Amino acid sequence: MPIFKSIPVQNCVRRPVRTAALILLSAFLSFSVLAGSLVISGLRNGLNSLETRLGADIMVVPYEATTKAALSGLILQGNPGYFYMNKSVVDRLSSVSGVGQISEQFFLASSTASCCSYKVQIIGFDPETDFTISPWVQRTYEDELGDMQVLVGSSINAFKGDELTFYGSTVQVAARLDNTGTYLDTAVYANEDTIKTLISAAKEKKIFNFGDVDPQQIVSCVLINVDDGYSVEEVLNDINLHVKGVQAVQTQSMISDVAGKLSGVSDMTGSLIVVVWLLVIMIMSVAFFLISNERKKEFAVLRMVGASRKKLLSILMKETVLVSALGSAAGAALAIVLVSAFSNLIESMLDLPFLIPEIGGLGLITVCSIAVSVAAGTLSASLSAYRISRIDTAVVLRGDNG
Amino acid sequence: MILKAESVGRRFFRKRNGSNFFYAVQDVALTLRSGQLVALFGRSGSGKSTLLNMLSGLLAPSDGCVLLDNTNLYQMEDGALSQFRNEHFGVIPQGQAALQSLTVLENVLLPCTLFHDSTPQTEARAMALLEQTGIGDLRDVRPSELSGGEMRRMAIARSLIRNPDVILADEPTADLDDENTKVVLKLLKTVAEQGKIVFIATHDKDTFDYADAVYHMDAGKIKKEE
Repeated sequence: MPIFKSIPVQNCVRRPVRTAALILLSAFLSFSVLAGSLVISGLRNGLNSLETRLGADIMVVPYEATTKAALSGLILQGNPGYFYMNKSVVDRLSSVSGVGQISEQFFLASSTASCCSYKVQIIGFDPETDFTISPWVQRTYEDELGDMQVLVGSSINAFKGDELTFYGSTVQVAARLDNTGTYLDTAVYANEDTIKTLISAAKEKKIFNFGDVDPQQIVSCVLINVDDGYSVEEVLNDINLHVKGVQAVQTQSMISDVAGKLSGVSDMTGSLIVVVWLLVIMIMSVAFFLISNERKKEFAVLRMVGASRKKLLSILMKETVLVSALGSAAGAALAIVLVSAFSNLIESMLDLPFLIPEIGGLGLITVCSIAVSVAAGTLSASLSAYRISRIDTAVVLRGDNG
Repeated sequence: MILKAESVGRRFFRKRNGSNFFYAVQDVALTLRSGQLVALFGRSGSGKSTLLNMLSGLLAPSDGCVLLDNTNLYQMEDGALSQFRNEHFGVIPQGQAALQSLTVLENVLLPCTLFHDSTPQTEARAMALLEQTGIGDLRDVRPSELSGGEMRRMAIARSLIRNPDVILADEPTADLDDENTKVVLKLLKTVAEQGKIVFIATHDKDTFDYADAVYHMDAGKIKKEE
């Protein structure tokens, strides 16, 4: 018998309202499970991505930039900003014992740019010494970044070959970078010479109060990896003690704040999933109970024409699995679409980096969520199905005329 | 073929006359043979439906046994008994019993589809039975659109689809007008004459005209009408 003609399929197809209601419940269940899981794993991915991109043990910034809110706002949330210190600090830092890899970065906030209706952060780096941005950039762009060329983060509305204007200076987009789910997605990247040109242009236009800053003699921050055999705390303390006018910050401590917040959001989302899950299972159990009561006589007819108790159980469970699978797939699809569409909103509402898992991880989470939802649907129907399989056919079929 | 009830009784737990249980059917001995249409007459609550359910393998007796030829129905496992019922029994229940999601034709074919045995031949037989019962034009209609009489005729067609050895009918003419009552009783008589056992529980005295034997049931006990 073709599958579409089988009794469970006919029962589902020919009772569209009942089937739609059950599909909707299953969809809600799988939506809540998958959307919740995606939010949790997106936040974890974002944190991992942030850890990888920061990629340095210590960040050294001008002392006045270290009010933690301002610094973490720039580093973790991508709030455009700038601060500078004299370039000589790099030499002084290099001489501190335990300082290994060292590289400087330059920050500039755009006033307006042709790409965007909002300010963007421009980050300059030295490709010769950089060890945090380059590994990620090289995944998309392997060439050397030329003068007046920039790379744009995935959230910037510009593409390879486009021209952007900052402070009257035109730069060309060399490539658009992979999504990271962090502040780096909303930034523009340039080499040291290009950003110094842009800082000079900004200074000339007097848009920001740069004071007597000489663009050729400044850096915004210095990133340091500690040599083997030294502890990060030891080197950090040495810098703060011996290098005047700067503050060294352990990047891990900035991330631990994010991790703490993430843990809170994860716990809350997890609890919410469990509550929704239990609630929907209860509603589905009641729905299946009512439906099975309404269909008692139908199952009695099946018994009468030769269905065993096992067969009744199988028919009802096949219907349940079919409806749960359809609903779960629909709910999962909706969860993926909505979470993807609103990932930026989630990121800004939670104030945390957010990165949807890549296709393999996404597929695994989706399959698991569908499996959990189908299992929950089956579980909620199992008691009703067992009850139906034990019905007293004679009593159900008997009318008033004993 | 012989369907035999040997000292069959069915006890239900219910408080009645100072006792915690009562016998709906008590010590019934009955032998039904192929080629006979036998009517069972009795008031409501006399135990007719209970006896029919026990004879069809749907309700295990508290006492005695039911045998089709030498097969004791209630010594079989549920799966085997269900298949046995599908192959040997056609049951016409009281009231309106159908799968609402299936059409009339699909409901008639249900005993076949349940065992993946729906073929063009069985479909042709189902159509022929629907024509014989006068509802051939309603083959694609859903049960909810049928009248009580049409539903009853659909149940009769369904009971005959597997060409079973035994037809057990509980008030088969209950919702039918005079004309359709005659059609159905003639059909059941023809089935009996083809070598089947037909046993009808009824209020309808018209059935007596077609019956080879009539039994009377009262308070769970059976007596043959002379």
